[in-house]
Amino acid sequence: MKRITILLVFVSLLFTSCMKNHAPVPGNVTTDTNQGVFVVNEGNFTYGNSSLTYYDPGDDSVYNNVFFNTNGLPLGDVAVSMTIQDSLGYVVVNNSGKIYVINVNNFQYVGKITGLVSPRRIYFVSATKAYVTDLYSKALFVVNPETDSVTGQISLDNHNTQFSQHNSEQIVFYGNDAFVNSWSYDDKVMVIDTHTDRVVDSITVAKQPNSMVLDKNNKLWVLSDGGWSGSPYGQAMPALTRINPVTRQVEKVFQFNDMDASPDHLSLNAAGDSLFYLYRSYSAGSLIDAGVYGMSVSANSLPTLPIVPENSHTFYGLGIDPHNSRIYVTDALDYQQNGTVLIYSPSGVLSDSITAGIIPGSFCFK
Amino acid sequence: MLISQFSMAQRVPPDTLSIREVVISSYKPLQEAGRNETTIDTLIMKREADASLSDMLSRYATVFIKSEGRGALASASFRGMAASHTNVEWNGISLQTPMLGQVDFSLIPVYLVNQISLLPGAGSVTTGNGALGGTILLKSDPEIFDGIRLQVLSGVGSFHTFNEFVHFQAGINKLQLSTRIYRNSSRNDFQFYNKSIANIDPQTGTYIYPLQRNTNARYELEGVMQSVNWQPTVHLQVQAHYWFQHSDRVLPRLNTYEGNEHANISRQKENAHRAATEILWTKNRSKLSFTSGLNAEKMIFYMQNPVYGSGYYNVYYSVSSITSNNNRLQYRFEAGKNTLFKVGYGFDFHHVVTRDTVLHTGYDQYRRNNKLFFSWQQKWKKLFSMQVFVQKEWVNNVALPWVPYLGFEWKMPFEHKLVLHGNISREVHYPTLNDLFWQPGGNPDLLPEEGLVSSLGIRYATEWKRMRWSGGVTWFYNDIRNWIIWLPGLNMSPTNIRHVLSRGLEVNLKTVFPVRKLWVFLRADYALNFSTNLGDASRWGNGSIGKQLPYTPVHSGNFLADVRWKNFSVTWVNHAYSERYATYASNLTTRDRLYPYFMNDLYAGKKWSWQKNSISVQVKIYNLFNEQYWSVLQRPMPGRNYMLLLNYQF
Repeated sequence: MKRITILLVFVSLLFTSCMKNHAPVPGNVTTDTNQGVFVVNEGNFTYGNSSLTYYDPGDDSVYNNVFFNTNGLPLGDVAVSMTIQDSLGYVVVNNSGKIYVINVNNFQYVGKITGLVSPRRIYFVSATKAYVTDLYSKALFVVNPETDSVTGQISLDNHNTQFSQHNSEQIVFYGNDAFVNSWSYDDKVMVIDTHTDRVVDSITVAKQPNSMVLDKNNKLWVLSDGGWSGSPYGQAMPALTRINPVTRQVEKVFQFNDMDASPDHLSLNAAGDSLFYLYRSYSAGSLIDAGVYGMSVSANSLPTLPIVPENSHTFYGLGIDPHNSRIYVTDALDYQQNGTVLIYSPSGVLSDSITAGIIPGSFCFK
Repeated sequence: MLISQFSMAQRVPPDTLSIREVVISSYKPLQEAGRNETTIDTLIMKREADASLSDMLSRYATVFIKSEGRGALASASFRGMAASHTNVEWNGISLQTPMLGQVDFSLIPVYLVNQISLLPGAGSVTTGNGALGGTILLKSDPEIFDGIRLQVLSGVGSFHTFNEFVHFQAGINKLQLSTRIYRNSSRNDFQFYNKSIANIDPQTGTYIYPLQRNTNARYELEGVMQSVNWQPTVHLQVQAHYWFQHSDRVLPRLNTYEGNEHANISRQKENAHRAATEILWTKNRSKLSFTSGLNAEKMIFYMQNPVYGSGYYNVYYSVSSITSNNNRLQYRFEAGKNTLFKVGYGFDFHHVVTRDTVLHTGYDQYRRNNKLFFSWQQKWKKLFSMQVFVQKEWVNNVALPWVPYLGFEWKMPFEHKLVLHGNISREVHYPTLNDLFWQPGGNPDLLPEEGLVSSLGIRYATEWKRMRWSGGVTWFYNDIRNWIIWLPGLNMSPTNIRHVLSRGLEVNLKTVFPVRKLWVFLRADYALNFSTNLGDASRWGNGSIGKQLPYTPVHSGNFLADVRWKNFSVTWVNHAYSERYATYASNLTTRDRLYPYFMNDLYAGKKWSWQKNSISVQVKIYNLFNEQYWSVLQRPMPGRNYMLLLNYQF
């Protein structure tokens, strides 16, 4: 009996232990530099492992997981964008239905906007009003940044019974108008009066407009990927469209010449006179001329060669530093390890690279 | 061998347990040589009758169960392989759908089967439906007897959980019937402190972690299974099974979710009709068998969101119909006492139609699998036995590489209780229909996964005084190429990127002995598993290379102690996993890491018997120490919870 008791005690010690509490201890990270770059790492869908990286180009220092390390809380599931308003950073966490508000200097969580559906980006109209775009709700959310609360919605629903329209992705402001692109299964740029919060017009562009910018000449540029092969919505040639935001008329359409191409991440340089975008095509099963492309806003044709060839990388996100036009592009590698951010000069010369988090997807320049 | 004999020992009622009835034999049936098959003890199956197969395997097998939550999707993987590398056969037909390639083990109640066998690694090839990881064989054979039996099992547990099961059996001469009817349901609304979100106290600035309920997590499972065994002559036996099951589950959101309370609610409904028939003709040294099965499943998966001013709408609404027909003809010939040949032909037909009525995506695809196999089993001087197996398979018109298998068992000449066993096989896994055709993102250019799967081990069994021991150690080594994973991009898409090397040890130990008036039964399993990614660093960066695969524990184990006195029993169950990582990231934080998982359950029961009747009462305490834990990141699991079971039999 004694032997048995000893055996049982021994085995129980082997197999029994206390599990640790999941709440981590917050830490302190502080940066007081004026210029820095936030990298928003999406993380894996439904893993809840998105994160925030802070890069200080001044001393080339990198701080990973700044939100988690500072606050002891996971950022959430699929963080997609960040916008800075004064000293506050608004990090939109898509599949967690919320926006975290942080202090951009010490990364401390100071508030959150909750109760959203599938938020994508936040845009500030005034100190008391901001719009939040949304993938699923067929509406823009109107929020009050002072109270971090949802104050209303602007319906974009066209009651199309065949396809779910209109979602909202990005917003470009011009005058009193907000131009909102509807990307998924759609071909519209909606126009909203920011005084009345009503849809006042819509502009038809090439299928699946995914990104927009306003150049120095106050021209609205819209990049469409054309959809995907076999899509029930149909596939069209990808295109870059120039719109006059005053007349709301399409002025020029630059069509790509490859149906299998998928251009996205349209961005603008610091001077507002050059456009950048990511481009890749899997024509005939192989990657063709993929990379970061750049063109002048006054160009008459699309560029034929990339400024930064993709080579062995898998480019995923693109951002242009509004202070110096440096090109930031991300490589998500195998999407299950920490991704890389490659930094190039405006002319496409590699100047630096840093390691960020899992699936680095977008940038926010301080 | 002794392990299976132990299983036989457990079939006697607890109040009459006696090891003297067990015959220890040195004879090893030819068909088991080198397969390294383990069978779950019937004692355990009785104890866990109300559980799901995923819960039972996590407690009593060295199979890693990845559970998305209580009652939610649970997948199983052997030896560091993927969930899609685990095949499940129910009475000879595969439950692994050609569409998804994996089985949800939370949807298989243990009381529907009366035998569970595990064939890890190369040994699974010999069933004719091999898998890179292994195969789990489920049998629901009617018991052979004359008369009528009835079992009613009723359980009530925490979180409004109700498990009801009725099993009626009848045996009349050469005909046996078995009817099982069941219903499991749970509101599943346990409370937990959510430490993945926090509100800031406006007075003190400190965090307040909310006490939340696991809402939107209810599940229902109901069905009926009818089995017939008919033996009109001594040469002919016919078995037939039919199983219908309906399940309805709401899929909970992650605990980082703080969005609209009515948004992002997903629900999954499934109806499955399964039928299996086996005709077995035996004469002299020949045995001819024909197995045919039909598996028809309809799955509906949708997510709803509120739309401002319009009510709810579906974000997606996917309806999938999967029809599979499995057929196998096998001839077996015993050319003498020590030689056995088998030759067989298998034909499977699959049809999958999947449509999303919102996105208007989907596919309609057929798949035909033809396979031929040959097996030679030989024994020499009762000490050495081996099996050579070879299979050739065609998927539609694509010929897959030959699959050869070699297995052996060798009883040590100096000690017959010590057995050396091993096996090695090449295995091939063809991509699923979703891998190839899913819209958008399916990749029709995917290559089959293939690799070398092997193991080598020893097994020992002995008796010392009145204590019987058995145990074994098995070393395994799997080298898999063209491993398929889905990667994000414009759309999620699968690709062959990984080269995975999986190697490790499995140890098991089992003993039963009397202590005065008590019977004590102890068993323990331990697995050491290094499954590392050896992909192409020049293409995919070196952050993943040499790292343990995500959600694959290096250490896992379980322990059971069962003590019985007269009609009382107390059982302690412990199962444990070492820390697991969700990704390959190198600067890991607790956000990406799952703490070691040590789970303790305690069962106590008593049985009353009179004439041919018996009633037993069992109380189960799960998560005895009320641990807060996760099986998957950001998916809450319940604290201490209870189940009361009442079982009546005559």
